[in-house]
Amino acid sequence: MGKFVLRRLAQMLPVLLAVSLLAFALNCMGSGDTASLILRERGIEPTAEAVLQVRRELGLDRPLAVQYFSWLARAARFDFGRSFASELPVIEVIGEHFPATFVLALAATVFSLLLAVPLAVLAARFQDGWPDRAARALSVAGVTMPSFWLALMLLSLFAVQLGWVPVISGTRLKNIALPAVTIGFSYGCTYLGVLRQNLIEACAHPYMTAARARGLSRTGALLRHGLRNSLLPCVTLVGYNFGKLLSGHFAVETIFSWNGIGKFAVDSIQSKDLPVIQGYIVCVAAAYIVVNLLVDMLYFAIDPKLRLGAQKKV
Amino acid sequence: MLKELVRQKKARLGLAAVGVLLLICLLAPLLAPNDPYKVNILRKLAAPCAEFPLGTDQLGRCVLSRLIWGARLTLSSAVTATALMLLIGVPLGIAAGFCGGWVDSLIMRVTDVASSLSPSLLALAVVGLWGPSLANIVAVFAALWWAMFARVVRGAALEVMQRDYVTAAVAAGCGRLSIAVRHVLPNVLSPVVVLAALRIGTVITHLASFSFLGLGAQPPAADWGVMLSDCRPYLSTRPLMILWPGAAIMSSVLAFHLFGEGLNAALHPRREGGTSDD
Repeated sequence: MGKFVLRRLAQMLPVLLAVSLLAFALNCMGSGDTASLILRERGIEPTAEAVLQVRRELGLDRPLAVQYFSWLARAARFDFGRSFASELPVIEVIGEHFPATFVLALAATVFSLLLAVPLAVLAARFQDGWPDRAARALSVAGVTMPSFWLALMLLSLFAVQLGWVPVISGTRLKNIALPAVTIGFSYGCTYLGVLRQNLIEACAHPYMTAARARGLSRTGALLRHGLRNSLLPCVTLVGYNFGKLLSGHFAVETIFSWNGIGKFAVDSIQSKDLPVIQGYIVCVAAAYIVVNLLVDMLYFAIDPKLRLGAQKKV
Repeated sequence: MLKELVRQKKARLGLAAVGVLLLICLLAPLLAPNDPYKVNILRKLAAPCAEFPLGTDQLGRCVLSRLIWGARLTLSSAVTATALMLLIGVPLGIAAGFCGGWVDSLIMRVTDVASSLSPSLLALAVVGLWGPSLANIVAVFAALWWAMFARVVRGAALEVMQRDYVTAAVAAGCGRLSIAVRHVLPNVLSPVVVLAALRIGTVITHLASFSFLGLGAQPPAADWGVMLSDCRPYLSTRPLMILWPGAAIMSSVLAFHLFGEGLNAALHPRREGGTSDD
């Protein structure tokens, strides 16, 4: 297990390097630009003299490699400087917005599973019947429907026409339903397709025939044996996607005014708040990598086949 | 293969839908009843009528014309992005499968990095550096999503290399490059074509969502994503306005999805309707 984790970490190094270069590149958008941008944000006319002074203050007049390594050393400690707009430390403002995204990711994942698991079981139980056809249609709908459009439609229906929820949801927990459903729908449809396929394949296995021979009903065999075996490959998929969701859904968070880091990133790029963008890129990539690693370890822990294999090797 | 394609119901539908979409793009100047950019503030948010079949937007521009011209913009950028992915991914995939050794490991490491970066992160960086534009977003997708093509092509190339005709070509003294281009390339293309058709659909959705956020195509462009973001303030007064661009996006994505699935079924007649998508 330890070896496995180390190898995965080693594989992630080039990714982290690429991400750090990407984030650092934002520093170099013509250093004069950055300096005058900061001055303008603070409401100061960017004269040549003022620009020079800011550049010296920020160390923008040093060679690029030096700038990169000093930036990297600070980034490794999650120090990305201060936001141009609020003048607060970047990591603080990102931390402020992160819980909202985390809760939304959780709710969306729960909804997607609530959508996918029962429907997939129904589809496999009544293969080629109408539940199956509905499931197949839904999994295509999930692929083709852009989630930002679904968000607009739901908002128009439930907030504007019916008036059940406020148009601007803020970050109050009771308003999480619409954004969670929007994000959960597209992921749920993907899971539905995968799980249905797995369940149908599982039905062909001898252990299902054995279960039926022991007197289990078709539904019982499907639930007790088929589902457990089919859910296993989905754990990885759901886990990876959860890691992706932690970066915040740009469009959905923006449409529902959900104050997560996705909306915050979009707002920051529009106001050209570069330190925030840099912090966002590095934090999100780090979170993604950590979650992926956790998912791999989880898979290791719950799949008895892998566990046995590992013991044999040792 | 074409015959097989026509025989499949799904594929027929997809082929027809993609055909219609292409026709709309080609004939946009003839089909559009009005100039998509002509502002007529006096007739803003007009209801559908003979002159404006789907009504007008907040600046009095013809919605139907903007939809039709939007198809042109959307399709051309999605196809460009996918073509760029092919241009990068296919040669790299063949090189990796064909050369093996350190070339293979190097290319695969780069592929790993590209496929684990999310387009949103790169898009943020690119927009931060060079400002928002549709071309930049197209470049972002091309710069990352070639990876899946490289993977698929490498796998297929490894398989093709085992075949007798490649051995025969080596025995006949063909050069390495000529084997790669004349024997390996044509034989790895079928999974690539399927993947590309499905990818175009995905790219369309993503491009629209970036344009919607103001990071892609910029107003006043006749783009479906821009149109959707334009009508956000009128959600309560003109709910129908959000229907059209969304329906346009969905139907074109569906068209490419059906086309890709049908193509897949036609190329692998035994596997009913399954996707070779990773």
